[in-house]
Amino acid sequence: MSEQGFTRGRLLGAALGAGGAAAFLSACGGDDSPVDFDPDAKLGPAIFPPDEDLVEAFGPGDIGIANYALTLEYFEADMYAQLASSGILRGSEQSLIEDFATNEQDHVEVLIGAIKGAGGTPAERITGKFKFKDRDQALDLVLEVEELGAGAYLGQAPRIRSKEVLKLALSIHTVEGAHAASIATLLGRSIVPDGSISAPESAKTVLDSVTPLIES
Amino acid sequence: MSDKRREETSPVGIEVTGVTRTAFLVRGALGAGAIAGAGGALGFASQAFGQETTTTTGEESEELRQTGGPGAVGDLEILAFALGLERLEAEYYVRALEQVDLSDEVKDLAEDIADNEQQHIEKLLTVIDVLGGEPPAAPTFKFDFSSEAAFLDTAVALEETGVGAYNGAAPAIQEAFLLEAAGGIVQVEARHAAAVNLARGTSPTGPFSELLDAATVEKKIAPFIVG
Repeated sequence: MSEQGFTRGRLLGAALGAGGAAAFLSACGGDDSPVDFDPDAKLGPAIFPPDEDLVEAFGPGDIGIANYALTLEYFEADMYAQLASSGILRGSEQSLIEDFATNEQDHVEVLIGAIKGAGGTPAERITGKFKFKDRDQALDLVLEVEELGAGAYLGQAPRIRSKEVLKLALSIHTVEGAHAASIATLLGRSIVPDGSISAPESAKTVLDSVTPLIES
Repeated sequence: MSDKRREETSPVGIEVTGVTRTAFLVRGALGAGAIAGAGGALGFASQAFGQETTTTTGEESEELRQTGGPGAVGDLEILAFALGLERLEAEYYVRALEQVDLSDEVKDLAEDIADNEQQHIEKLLTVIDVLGGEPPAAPTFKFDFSSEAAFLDTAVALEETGVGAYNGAAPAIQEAFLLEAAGGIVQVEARHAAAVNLARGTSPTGPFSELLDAATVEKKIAPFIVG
């Protein structure tokens, strides 16, 4: 049911209107990638069962997963925007945060386009209540959120049914990992806190951690 | 190893509440998270790394995927390709650490990354073994090391190629556990790419990671492969 409409044409056609869509299309190799959407397509003989906490909060299927992702992207985009305007950071660190703010806003726009293109309703924008005090505390918080975000995408990837949605999720997932590693580098922390293979996070863990920081 | 063999002979049916035999074996071999990898389309491993396998066109592999055919066949070839990429990366860092005069900071980073890549190799070999596959022989690589700057340039290129290769192949993975594991690896590759970019003084990431097709990956790594 909720899978209907995630055709490549509608997904990417809708996304074309969004600011970051050109970059995503380019990342996917442009328009000549094969049209491989099938509403009944599954990843294989074993797809993970839905994450019930996600379904409860955002609804079933790929649209529910996309709205979960969108909500996390709203949160991250707002986090970076608030930090960028806080005046706490200087120089190359400030530039990096501004770049990451733009990345997250690009993710927001492409996800909204994808959800609308599939006939879904994008989740409402949320804002965060971040109390940035100083450089270390601010980057600590950003790192925690980015680690959750990267784990959140990894946690849902094997639950996505549409290959087009999976491609979008994969393309964003590794950017979240790059963000986390970059912030870790600034703080002198390990860039691979889980070791050589990153771990997925459940929606419950992610939402429990993020919800106290959402402006209600 | 004995534990893994025991798992392999467990009386698992074709499917038990959605868990395939492949999933069971992989999970048994690697613990909760599982493992694995990705790479190009079917046939790519044999071209890029001299593996003796039957090549399959992208269309055929797509058909296989859609019909829910024997996932381990396609997945094994993706695993073999991922192994080749990881061997390329691991050897690059190992040789650089021997041959290039690196600053302390870059040396530490290269050592950590080399360690991660070696662990990826070991996990991939384990999964290939458990799934009944035969890992391809390791190819011979060639690298030019002239300076730390040149080292970082190639490290960025290799890591970004690795990210694109895993991401490009991941949608073709049949088995969800392998997809999760490939995701866990590709996220680490993306972390490496970000860190080497920062060490080089370049932007750690754009807004979207590339999904590279097999031919593109092959072209990118060809200069490093002797045979």
